[in-house]
Amino acid sequence: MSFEEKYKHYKNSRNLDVSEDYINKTVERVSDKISSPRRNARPFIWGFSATAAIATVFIFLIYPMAFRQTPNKPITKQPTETKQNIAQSPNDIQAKDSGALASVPVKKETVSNDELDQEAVIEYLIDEGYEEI
Amino acid sequence: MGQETLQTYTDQELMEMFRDENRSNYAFNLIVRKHTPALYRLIRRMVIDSDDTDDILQNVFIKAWRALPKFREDASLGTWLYRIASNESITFINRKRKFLFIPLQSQETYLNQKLEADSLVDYEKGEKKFQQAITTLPEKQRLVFNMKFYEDLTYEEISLITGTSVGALKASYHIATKKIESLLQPD
Repeated sequence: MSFEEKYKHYKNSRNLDVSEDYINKTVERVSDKISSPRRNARPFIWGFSATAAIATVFIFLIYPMAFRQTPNKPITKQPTETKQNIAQSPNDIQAKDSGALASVPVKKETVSNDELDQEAVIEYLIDEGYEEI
Repeated sequence: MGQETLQTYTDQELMEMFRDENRSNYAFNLIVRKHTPALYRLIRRMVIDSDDTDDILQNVFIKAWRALPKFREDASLGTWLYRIASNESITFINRKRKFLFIPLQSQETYLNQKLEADSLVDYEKGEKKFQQAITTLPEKQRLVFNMKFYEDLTYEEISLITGTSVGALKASYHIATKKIESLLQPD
């Protein structure tokens, strides 16, 4: 016996048949929807989405780029070397060994590498009274 | 308007009438009347819930109204409407599943609950069990089963509606019947 024959009584069940009244109501509902001006939510949704997308791009990309503050350049020069460090050349070490530098007052004034000028250092030391260097 | 009036018009005649601008509204009215019963049964068997069925059925006809002027009649009007209805039903089921976070495995439970709560249909003894067995089938298989078993559509028509080959449909229907039979076997 085939499946259809076996379950014929369920197949022919009429419990999902619709009434004439239901058909009339369906016709009415469909007619109302068709004849009423189309209330379409899509333009609104698209408009909203587009605005949100533009706002997101502006907030996260354009705004930080356009109004970003350039990082403050240090007003004072970065301490790179102190005069204590400068006095580490072989000559200085020699001088130090001889005790000549022992009483040199060291100013912890910062100087950049650019300004590291051996002549200026020697001049400074001479000015300070260490002529033997 | 009685059933007799509807039966006198074929789908072809209704389409010809629809193309006449003066009679398109009347023709569409007749199309809705003619195809509501079959589409209702198909959608109702897919989504179970009567309110959901009403909404989907309404959407089907609204979509049909918008698309009818472009309908090329490659298939019959009935087949075309079945196609819209089956797509709408499956889209609705998937949307609802996502919205309610229903996992695939729980879909059957969800539909069974709907069946149990359905007070509009008076299932005879054993029929509810038969319906519950159908709900265990995957959506597409259930759709094929409903169209073949209840609506007596040919495999060729179902193929046009679902876009699946006749061979695959035959296999799908065979598997579905085997599964239902196994579930209806007394323990």
